[in-house]
Amino acid sequence: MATFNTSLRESGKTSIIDISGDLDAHTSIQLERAIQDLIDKGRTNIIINFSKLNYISSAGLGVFMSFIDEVRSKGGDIKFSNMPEKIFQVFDLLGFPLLYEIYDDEHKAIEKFQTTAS
Amino acid sequence: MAEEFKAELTIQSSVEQLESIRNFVSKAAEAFGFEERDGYKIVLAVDEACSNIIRHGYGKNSDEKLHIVIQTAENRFIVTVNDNGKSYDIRTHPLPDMEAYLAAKKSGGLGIKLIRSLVDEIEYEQSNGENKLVLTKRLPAR
Repeated sequence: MATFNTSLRESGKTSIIDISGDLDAHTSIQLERAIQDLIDKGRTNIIINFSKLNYISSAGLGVFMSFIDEVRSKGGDIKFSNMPEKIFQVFDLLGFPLLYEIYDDEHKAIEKFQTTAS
Repeated sequence: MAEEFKAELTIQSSVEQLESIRNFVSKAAEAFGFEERDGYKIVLAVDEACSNIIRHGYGKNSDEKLHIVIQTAENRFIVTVNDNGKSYDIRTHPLPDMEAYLAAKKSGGLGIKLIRSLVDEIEYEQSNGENKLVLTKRLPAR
């Protein structure tokens, strides 16, 4: 049984999802649910903190692709932080840094949301 | 790993088994001498290939099986995935232009692009209803 967990923290209007374990074709549904729950609550300033993520495959990348338009159309964004180098290489290989903001520190991502808030 | 190595794994066709496949490949890749970064690449390539077979080749029918063989020869780490599902040659799959792909925010089809970026050689054979995909990654020169 692949281990993957999401846990949610909040910092003002920003929601932070900590993800840990292996994000693959089996576990990606859990991340889908976590992001969908936030959107349903109208919370679209979302940071994904990758510091405890061990593994990601294209199924995990696909989750971010499937939500980004909806989140941005509602005035929010999905930003990434604290990405281990082995995880970043997968994003980099597919050109994802062109589409998503990736921060080495979660606080910088929170600040970015605060400075761009209307 | 000085001498040549061979290991085999047969598993049910289910995405729940992907972690077992990754553990199997990861242990062998580490023993072979891949650094973490390159070990991740071959593990990911095999995961993507098996995930495609499970979801598309077998249409999520978990009664089916995949047979995976890892062999090493000199500096080559060779992973062979055998299945009896719908055949598909990933070498002929048209690759998306990533800039246009990202602009269109599509969410599928990244696996084959990854496989082709992650390994050095891809071979594919189909005969008598059996598919054989061979992914080879070479140990970088030190």
